[in-house]
Amino acid sequence: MLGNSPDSNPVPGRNKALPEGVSSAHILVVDDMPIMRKMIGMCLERGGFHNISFAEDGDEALDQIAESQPDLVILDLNMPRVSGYDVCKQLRADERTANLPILVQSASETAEERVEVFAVGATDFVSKPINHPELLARVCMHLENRFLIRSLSDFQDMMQSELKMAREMQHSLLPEIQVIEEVETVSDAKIEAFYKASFELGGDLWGTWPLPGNKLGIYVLDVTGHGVGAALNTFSLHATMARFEDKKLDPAAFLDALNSSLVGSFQLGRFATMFYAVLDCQSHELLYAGAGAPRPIIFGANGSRTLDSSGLPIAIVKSATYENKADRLAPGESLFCYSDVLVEAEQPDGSMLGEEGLVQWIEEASTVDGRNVSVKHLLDRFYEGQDENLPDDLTAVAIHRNGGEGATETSDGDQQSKVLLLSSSEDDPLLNALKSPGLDVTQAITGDAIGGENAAAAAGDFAAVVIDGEGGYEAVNNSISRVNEDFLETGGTVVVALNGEPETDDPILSFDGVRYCDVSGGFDGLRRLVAEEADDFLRISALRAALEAGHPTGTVELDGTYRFASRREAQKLAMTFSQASADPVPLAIGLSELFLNAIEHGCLEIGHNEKGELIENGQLNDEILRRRRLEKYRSRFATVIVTEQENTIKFRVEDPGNGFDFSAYLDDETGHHKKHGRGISMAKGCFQSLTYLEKGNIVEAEISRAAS
Amino acid sequence: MEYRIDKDGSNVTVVFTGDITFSENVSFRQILKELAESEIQNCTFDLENVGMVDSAGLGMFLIAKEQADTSGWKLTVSGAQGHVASMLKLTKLSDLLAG
Repeated sequence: MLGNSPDSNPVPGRNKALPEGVSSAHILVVDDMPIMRKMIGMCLERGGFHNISFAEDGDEALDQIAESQPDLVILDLNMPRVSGYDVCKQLRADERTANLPILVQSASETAEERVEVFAVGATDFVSKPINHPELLARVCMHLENRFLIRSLSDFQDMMQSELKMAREMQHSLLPEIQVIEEVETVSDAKIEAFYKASFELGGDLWGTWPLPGNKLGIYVLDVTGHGVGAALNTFSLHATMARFEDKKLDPAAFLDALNSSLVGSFQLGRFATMFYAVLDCQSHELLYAGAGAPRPIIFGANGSRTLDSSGLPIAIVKSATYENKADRLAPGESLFCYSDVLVEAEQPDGSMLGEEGLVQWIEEASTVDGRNVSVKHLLDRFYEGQDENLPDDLTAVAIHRNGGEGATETSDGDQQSKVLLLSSSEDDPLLNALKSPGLDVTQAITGDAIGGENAAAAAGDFAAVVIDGEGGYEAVNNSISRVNEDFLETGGTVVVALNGEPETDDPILSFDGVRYCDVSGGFDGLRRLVAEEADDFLRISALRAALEAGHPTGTVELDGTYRFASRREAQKLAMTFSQASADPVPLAIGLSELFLNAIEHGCLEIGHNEKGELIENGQLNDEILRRRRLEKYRSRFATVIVTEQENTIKFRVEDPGNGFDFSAYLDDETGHHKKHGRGISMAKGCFQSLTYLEKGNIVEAEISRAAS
Repeated sequence: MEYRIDKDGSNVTVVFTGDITFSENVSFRQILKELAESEIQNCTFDLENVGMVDSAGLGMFLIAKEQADTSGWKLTVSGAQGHVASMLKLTKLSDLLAG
């Protein structure tokens, strides 16, 4: 007898009893010689096996196996009727028995026969006469392998089904079709979304929701990593979003809130990139903030542009702050957001598509039939060179706004804006450059009678004036003097199109409502600027008209984001909002202070001390006009986001400047005694509350809706 | 991805070559282990020869940054170009890991 404990454990090399699953394994012994069957049976019984059955030939073996599959077969090769070779072949051909361990016993010892035995699918080989310990050792080994593999594949099946469940859960976080349809109705747009979770589970998600004031919010995000860990972070991010309903109108504040709540809850090295935008469907303004997501692309008939979505990803550092940026998503334009795998996946030639490549695809496709390219088209092209199973989740979402003229029935804001172009000659290239679905351009030649009575009739119509700056300072100045005064007085903007930079020794135009635009690199920027200015003008005019018509407070919708760049615009805006208050004077004063600060200190970066000196020398106005012509400051503007709440109206004023140390100015006592900055403590008295945020470039002021 | 660690007293430069992606997880941890065993004051990740970095790669930089902060050495990245530079810029990690 062999083994340490001969009675119970005769298997060589083992000092433990057989595991339960192994000893109760079902073993089928196939041999045509009764003595052999008996001998092998006894050997197995001594080895601790007790679930043994026998077959006399190949046929009977196959029948038994079909009826009840054993865990292992010990098979003789030379048998009448069906040989051991044929049994092997048939078992291997059947999917159910393809992996059944078959231990072949044979008297023959030739190398050719061994090769033949393995070729027909035997798992292992023992030679006759049978060496009992060897047979037992081989039987044990194959059974244990089988049980290990079975439990591993059970475990794998379980993991697969759990991953599948997690993938389905991730899918369930995507916006419901009803929500998408609601958003489509509000925005007069079509939303086209593609989402495919990778086999390994990534952390992508996108969503959209309608917001008060005829707005919508849309986000895409990508949580780093793969597998269940990434999915759990995605769930937690999704749940966190629901906690900040009140921040959803303000993209930067929304990302700030998500970041502060999630820092610390993600594992080290894990984070989420994100892009969130709020579209005002009436003014078409798109306010957005980024946290390192791939740069979204806006495209339409006038080409494409990318949005600056840079920013620290969410959940890395607590101190991260996010910045609101503004663009426009006009009727006829599409906004396209996507996850990084689209531009980073390896293409057949080993390169990656990259942002440039994607933009090129968009432009190539758009020129074919003049319509905006669909997500489907882009993805079809992408998958041409890709394996179905990408290593990461793929998300691609577009919001296609229905085309310009077709959209007029929804609101006044979608009508064409009338623009007056003052040219020095009829073949001014600006005329064609400005023509677009949203702009109705009327050309007048400098020197024609456009001022006085002719323009008076048109004054209420024009929403923006464009002057060709080619004629130089004198001609431009002359043109401005001919523009209807009512238009200028009510905050209308004159856009001066420059071919390159103005001559530095050119005198500076004394009119404050001018915006300069360099068209030497193309007309897209001009068209956008004019459309935006026209929109702003129409919105403010409509709001003012409604307020002046004596609407009682509360029936005129103030909610929205408004922009201003000139002091004239700022003052007109402050005056307009003040009409919404039962006590308009303090509100007008307070808002004017905040708005002017945003322009002077924020947009134009005039320091507090510097401003003091300029005022003392009587040069502040000139300095403002000078800076607004400089390339650095020319396209800057400040924004005010107005939010009506049940009892209060909140004004959030933001500027692109570097902020200032506001704490020194907020104390009532010292504030009034400082030489400058009195405006702040004055403004403070005009509001129910005044809060400076971040680096001081954001200020929130609240008034009570009831008469104070 | 391949890497080489150059030591000059307490100044260490890790020179990376190839792509830094999710699959480099293991070698990256090996680098961090080697750095943890060295006396370092300044460590520079030289990314000049890196063609691309994905979000997992950026995550690994953050882990290295955390290790630097807790062990009291300074981590900077240098030489990023092309896709790597734009990823660092897009995620503003270039500010966090600036020299």
